[in-house]
Amino acid sequence: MTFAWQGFQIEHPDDWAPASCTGKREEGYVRIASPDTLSYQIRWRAVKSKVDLSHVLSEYLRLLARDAKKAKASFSSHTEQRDNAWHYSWKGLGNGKGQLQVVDNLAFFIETSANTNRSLNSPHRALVESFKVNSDELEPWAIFGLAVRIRPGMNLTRQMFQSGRTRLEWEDKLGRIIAERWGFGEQILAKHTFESWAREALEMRTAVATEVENRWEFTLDKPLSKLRGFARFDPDRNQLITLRSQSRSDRGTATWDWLT
Amino acid sequence: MGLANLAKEIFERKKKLDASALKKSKPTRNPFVTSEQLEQGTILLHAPLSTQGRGIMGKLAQRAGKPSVKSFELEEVGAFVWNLCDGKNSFESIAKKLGSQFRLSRLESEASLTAFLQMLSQRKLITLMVASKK
Repeated sequence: MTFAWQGFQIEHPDDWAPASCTGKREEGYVRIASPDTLSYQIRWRAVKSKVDLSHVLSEYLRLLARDAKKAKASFSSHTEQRDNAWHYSWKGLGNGKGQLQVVDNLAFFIETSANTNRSLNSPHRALVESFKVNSDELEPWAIFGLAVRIRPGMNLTRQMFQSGRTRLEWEDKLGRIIAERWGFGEQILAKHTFESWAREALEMRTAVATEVENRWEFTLDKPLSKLRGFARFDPDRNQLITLRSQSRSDRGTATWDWLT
Repeated sequence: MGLANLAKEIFERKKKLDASALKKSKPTRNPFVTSEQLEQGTILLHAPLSTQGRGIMGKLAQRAGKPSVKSFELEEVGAFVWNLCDGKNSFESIAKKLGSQFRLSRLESEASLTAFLQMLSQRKLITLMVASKK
């Protein structure tokens, strides 16, 4: 399953789930946890071009050592520089394996950890191999089944994670985007027609609707505001995905390929 | 003591079961609750009201024609869970069946089930049996 956030993406097993998502594009932290003891952690921070990565890494390991000392656990670590990245491993309160690398002026800590002493080689290899910083025309965002692609660099202004509903909102100079994912799609569509449900969900009650292969598109143009709404049903995952874009010009309007 | 017991009863009625204890539980339907299968997979539950028929207030309520049962309608998803609350299925097993039936992720089925079972438990429609350590 893909997890894409703030310009980077990774793959994780289907039964893992995001447990923490904080921060912004310049600095943040994400943890994706397995049902048992494993977790993937990504930390990122804007850095200057000539940053001393070994210093950044030693600071991080010092904090881990301090936590281990507080819990009266022993701590050991190993670091090594190769392929333009610092690779490290640590043992203390559990164990971890990670790498520190700079991509586009952002330092990324990409780490696999466990609160036991189990081997991390295989899951960590999978994490590192799937890690990618976006360089495409559209930027992917994917979390809890909601997967969309939007203009790169948009600011995430609101996030809502509820059981059965995920909602993300972004803004930039060109406009505003809202994407939502609704679980129990079949059960929703058994009670409402797809069109009437999508109109309500997108808050586009008076928009012009067009159906294309059981996907609905809504258009509402006003003098200084262009509204586009898209809704599709994904039967494989029993979910409904909607995307609403509001912009001042055609340059900012969304298209179908934004719903991946 | 009377007041302390009354306060305890009032506060404990609203108290939610701890999520970790809930995950170790085996939900069982309250035997006093009867169910009626409706169309489109929905179920209508009838639960007797415990305050009826006892004391002056109960008698007054009976005279005023207040209903002695309260009804709850469970839609398709709720009905699916209700049928699995037989004391044999654990929380984990119900969550797995729910996820597979309605194509939900593990986290989503567990979160939905937690909220739903908490609600059923608060309304005394089910009992959550938790094995205690000896």
